Amino acid sequence: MDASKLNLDVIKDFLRDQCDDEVNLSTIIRLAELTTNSVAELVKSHDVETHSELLNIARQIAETKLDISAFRADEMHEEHIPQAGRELDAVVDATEHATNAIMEAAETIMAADDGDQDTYKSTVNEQVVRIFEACSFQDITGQRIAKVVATLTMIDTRITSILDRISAIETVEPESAGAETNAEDGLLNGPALRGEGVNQNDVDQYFP
Amino acid sequence: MALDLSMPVLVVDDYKTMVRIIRNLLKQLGFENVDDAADGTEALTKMKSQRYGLVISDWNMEPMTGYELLKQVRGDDGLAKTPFIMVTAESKTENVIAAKKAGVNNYIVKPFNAQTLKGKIEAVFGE
Repeated sequence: MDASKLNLDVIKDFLRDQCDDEVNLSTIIRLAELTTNSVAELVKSHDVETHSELLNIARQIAETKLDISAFRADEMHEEHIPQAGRELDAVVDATEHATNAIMEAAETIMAADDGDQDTYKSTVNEQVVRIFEACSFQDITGQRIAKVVATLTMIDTRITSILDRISAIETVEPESAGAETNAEDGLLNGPALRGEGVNQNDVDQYFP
Repeated sequence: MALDLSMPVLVVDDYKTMVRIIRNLLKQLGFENVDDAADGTEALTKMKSQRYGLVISDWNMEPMTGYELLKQVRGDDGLAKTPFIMVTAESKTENVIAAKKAGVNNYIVKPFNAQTLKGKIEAVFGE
């Protein structure tokens, strides 16, 4: 290749390959990378300082590509965000269920006949237990909301990393790089959604 | 191992509301002596200073989880025989198997009711 001429072949080949595909951010970044490299070859023979700057730009483009790949937008779109939505739906269901259970218990107590003290006391005790049971929703919903917050935090971390790289203010490593893993992490999933996980009957099989 | 309603029971959970709920349910079942701890570390400290007849623990707590507490208890000659029930929202098969392997006596999936708690306690004590 003649370094004194702009090498357009590689750019033309790339554009030809892309002509049937949708243009997305990755395509644009790849095009910028190819263009920068091609121009860098041309400039190298004329201007060392500009060539060095172009190499720097090419390096930043390559690093941005790494950040975008670490962002895993598909995973976010197909898995994390829908999961967060399902968790919030489950929170709404749980609070509704708990409210109804508490209301029913209170209504049963209000409607109970206090003529027979033993029966009345037994009814009140039984309904008070129902109220205690219903209040456990607070623990479950708390854990579900914590999972949603974790998803939002992960998105925030990854976007911040990309923005920092693009603005060249500072370099932030992708969240997953170098993160310590705990052997118990795979066992800490929080409450399962309806239809997922095992129920008490399934668990009881292990404790005959 | 007989079920003694006067034995000290330790409830371990980082959600104060859940501790209160389990305390009240235990009271309804007739248990009079119920203590609590907010995580595995606090529970282990309490268990080393007082003998408990039963531990009812959540799994997901920091800094020490209920699973880690269970392993520590089973690994300590002085505490190893303490009956231990896990009460948790962690409801995957691998959780149940891991807890079983670590020596848990029974496993309750949240949300649960008073009847389930009563049944599992009785099962642990062979009632």
